[in-house]
Amino acid sequence: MENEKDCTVESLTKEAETLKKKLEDERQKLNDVTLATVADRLDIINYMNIKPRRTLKGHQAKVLCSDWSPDKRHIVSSSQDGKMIIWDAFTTNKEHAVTMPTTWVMACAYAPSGNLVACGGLDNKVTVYPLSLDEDVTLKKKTVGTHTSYMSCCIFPNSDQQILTGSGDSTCALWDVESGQLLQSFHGHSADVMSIDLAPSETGNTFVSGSCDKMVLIWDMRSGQCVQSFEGHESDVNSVKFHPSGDAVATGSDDATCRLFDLRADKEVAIYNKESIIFGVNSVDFSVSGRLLFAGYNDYTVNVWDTLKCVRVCLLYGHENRVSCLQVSPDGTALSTGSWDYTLRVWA
Amino acid sequence: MKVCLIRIACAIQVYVLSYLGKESQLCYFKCYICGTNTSRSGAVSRALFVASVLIKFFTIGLSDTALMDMVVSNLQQQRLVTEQLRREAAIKRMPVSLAVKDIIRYITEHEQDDCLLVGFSSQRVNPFREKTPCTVL
Repeated sequence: MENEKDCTVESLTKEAETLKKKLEDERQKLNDVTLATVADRLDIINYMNIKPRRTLKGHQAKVLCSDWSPDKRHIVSSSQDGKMIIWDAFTTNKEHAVTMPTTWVMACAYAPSGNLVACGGLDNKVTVYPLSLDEDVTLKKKTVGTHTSYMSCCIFPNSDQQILTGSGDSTCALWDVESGQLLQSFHGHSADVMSIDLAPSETGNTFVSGSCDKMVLIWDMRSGQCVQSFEGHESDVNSVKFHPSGDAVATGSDDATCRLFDLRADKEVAIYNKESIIFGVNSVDFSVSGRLLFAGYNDYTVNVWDTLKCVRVCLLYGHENRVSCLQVSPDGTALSTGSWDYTLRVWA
Repeated sequence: MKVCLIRIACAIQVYVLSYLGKESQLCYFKCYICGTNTSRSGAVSRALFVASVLIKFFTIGLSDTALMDMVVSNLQQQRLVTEQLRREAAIKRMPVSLAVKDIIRYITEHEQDDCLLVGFSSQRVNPFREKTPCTVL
C-alpha cells in the first residue's frame, strides 16, 4: 500500500518536472524578439518637465503607504506612527487624521466612491473607515477581516462592497465589507505577499500578486485559482502593477530591477536595470499611457523608465530617505511619492 | 579522513530523510554538510553525527500511521503542484513580437493624454502649478 503511494508521488514529481521543462521550452520558442528592438523606431523621450510641486508634511514617522482618491485631489497616507492622514493635494491641507490602535499601518486604500478608506498593518486586520466631515471618523469604523499575519496591501475591486487584501501569511483574501465574510481566499505563494494590483478592465476579475518567494502570480477572483505564474526576480518582489492596457505587469524587487511580464506571451519581456543601481525597488507605477514606468528606490530616488525602449529617462531627487510608496493620480496629471523621511511629495 | 567519514554519514542521512520527505530537516543537514568543510573541532563533528543518527532512528521508530500521514500529505501537495503546472501548460500563448505590438499600439493611442509624458500646453493648466497671487477686483 505504501509502495503504491510512493510510486504515485514519484510519478507526480516526474510529471511535474517534465511539465516545468515543457513550459520553459514553450516560452523560449515564442521569444522571437525583444521589446526594445520592436520599439526602436519610436521617438526617444528627450524632454521631461516633472518637478516637485507640493510637499505634504505632518506625519511623525515613516510614511508607509499612500493612495489617491478617485476625485484626483485627495490623498490618504498611512505611517509607522499609527496615523492615517487624508490630504488635499492642491492646498496641502490635512482634512482628516485618524489614529489607529496599531503602529506600522502598512496599507491604505480609497474606495471607488471616495467615501471609504481602508487600512491595516501589524494588527493583522483590515479596518474600513467611512469618511464624514461632521463627525469623528473613528466612530463608525468597521473591522472587515483578519489574517493570521500582518496585512501588507489592500485594494477595493471596482466597488465599495468588497475588499481584496494580501498578507504576510502568504495568502490573499477577498472580503465582503458589509458582513465581514471571507468570500474567497487565494493560496499559492510560499512567502509573504507584498503587493497586489487589479487588472484595469471594468469587467475584469483578475489580479496580480507579488511575494517574497520571488514569484508573481495572476489570479482569477471568482475561482480562487492561480491562472499564470512568472518567475525571474532574484529577490523579494515588493511591488506589482498592471500596465494600463491590461496585457502586461510591471514588478519591482529587492534585486534592484524592475521587470515587465507580458500576460499573453507568458514571459518576461523587459528588464529595467543599470549597473549603477544597487538598491531595491519599493514601489512602481505606470503613467496614464503606459509609456513611463516610475519606480521608487531605497537610494532615496525615483527613476523614470521608458517602458518600451527600456532606458532610464530621468531621475527625481527630493526625498531624504527611502521612497516607500509611489502612485500616479487617477487622471495622470501628477505623481505622489511617500518616503521614510516622514513626508509625501507631489510631482507634476 | 574523519571529516570524510562524517560527510559520508551526513550524506546517508540526507538520503534517508529525503526518502521520508522531511524537507525541513533536510535543510538542517545540508547546512551541516557545508559546515564540515570549514575547520570544526572533532567534538562538534561527532556531536552532529550522533544527532543525525538519533534522528534517523527516531523517524524509523514512528508508527506506521504517522508515516502514512506524512506520505499522504506529500502526495496531496505534489498533486496540487502537478495540477497547477498542468493548468499553466495548457494556456494559449502568443509570440512576444505580437504581444508587444498591442502594448505599443495602446501606448501610442494614449500618448497625447499623458500629462506626465507630454507636459501641459501651458503651466496655467497644470492643477499643481505653483500658487500665484490673485488680485481681488
